[in-house]
Amino acid sequence: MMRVVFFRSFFFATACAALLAPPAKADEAPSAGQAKMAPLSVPPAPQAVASLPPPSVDLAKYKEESLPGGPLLVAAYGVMWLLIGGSIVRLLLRQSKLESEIKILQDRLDRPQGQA
Amino acid sequence: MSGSPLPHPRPIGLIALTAVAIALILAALYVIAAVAPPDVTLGIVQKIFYFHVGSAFAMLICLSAGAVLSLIDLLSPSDRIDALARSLIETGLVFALLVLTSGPLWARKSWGAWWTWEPRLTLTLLVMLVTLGVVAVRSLAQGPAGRRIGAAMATLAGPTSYLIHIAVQKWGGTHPQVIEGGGIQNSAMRIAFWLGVAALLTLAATLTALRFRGLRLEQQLSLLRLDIQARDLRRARKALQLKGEVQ
Repeated sequence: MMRVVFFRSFFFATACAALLAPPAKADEAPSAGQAKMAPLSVPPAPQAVASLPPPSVDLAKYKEESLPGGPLLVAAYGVMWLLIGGSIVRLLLRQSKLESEIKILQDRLDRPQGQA
Repeated sequence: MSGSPLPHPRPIGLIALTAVAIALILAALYVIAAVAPPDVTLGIVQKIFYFHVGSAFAMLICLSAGAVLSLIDLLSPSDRIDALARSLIETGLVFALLVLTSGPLWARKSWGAWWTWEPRLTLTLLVMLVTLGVVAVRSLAQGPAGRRIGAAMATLAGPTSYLIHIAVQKWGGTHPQVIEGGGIQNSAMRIAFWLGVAALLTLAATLTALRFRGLRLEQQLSLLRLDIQARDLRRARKALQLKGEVQ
């Protein structure tokens, strides 16, 4: 029992630490939120591009960040299905264990008096 | 109780719900991967959005319903309501974890940061920690006191879920507001989005039903143990009476 309590406490502490670590480390200021989603095939309207203000800094000095989207997408979907699959497997295993325990107790209860 | 069969030996409803959930998930994955085009701003990463928002919807619905049922169980205790409230809270926790893992992966590309302390994110983290606390209390303190403390803590998830819902309108923040503002401009994107939401809500219902069945089985097991103890005591008493040791 103590071992189970220890492992559960350890699991909760680790989960809390893992979830709190990235936010605590974050120090980058966010940009404004996105308000529209449009397909990649639709180019921006020429007048919208022309109406953009000129950049206040020399952009040529900055190297563009090229963050690949594929690994982020795969990571998001991978974690998602691992979590959901893990939850379902855990629930099904627990249920089958409970069902077999209930069956054993039910048999014991239905047994006539005198039988051990 | 004694002699009664297992509850729902063949849970037909649960099997049907699981089948619907699997069909919707497969359809949503197909539309997201093959039909919906990538976003002009974010590219392929935008496809996280389809399941991230659905997970957030499922989290808010499960936690709000779990909070209401926990309050009802506090006022008028019932094993059935307690099991349903607990199932909803645990399913809400699973979806809160999904939201808090898929969100930062989207944010890294969209905002340039894994995390920001904006109101909606902070409140989501807070509600996840409260829910984790409820689950910890219920699994470590198994008894009437643990049940009442857990239910009281779970009621906090209701108002916090509402605050998450209104956070961007009330306090601003960097969260995209594409749904309320009608910002999804492509019909394939809209179909992928609503299919994703439907798939995740059905999945949440399936997980809740599965957990609810497990909790009802646990309750039945406890009652069976009590029945056996009572029967053994009766038999022991009868044996002693036969020996003339008890009046």
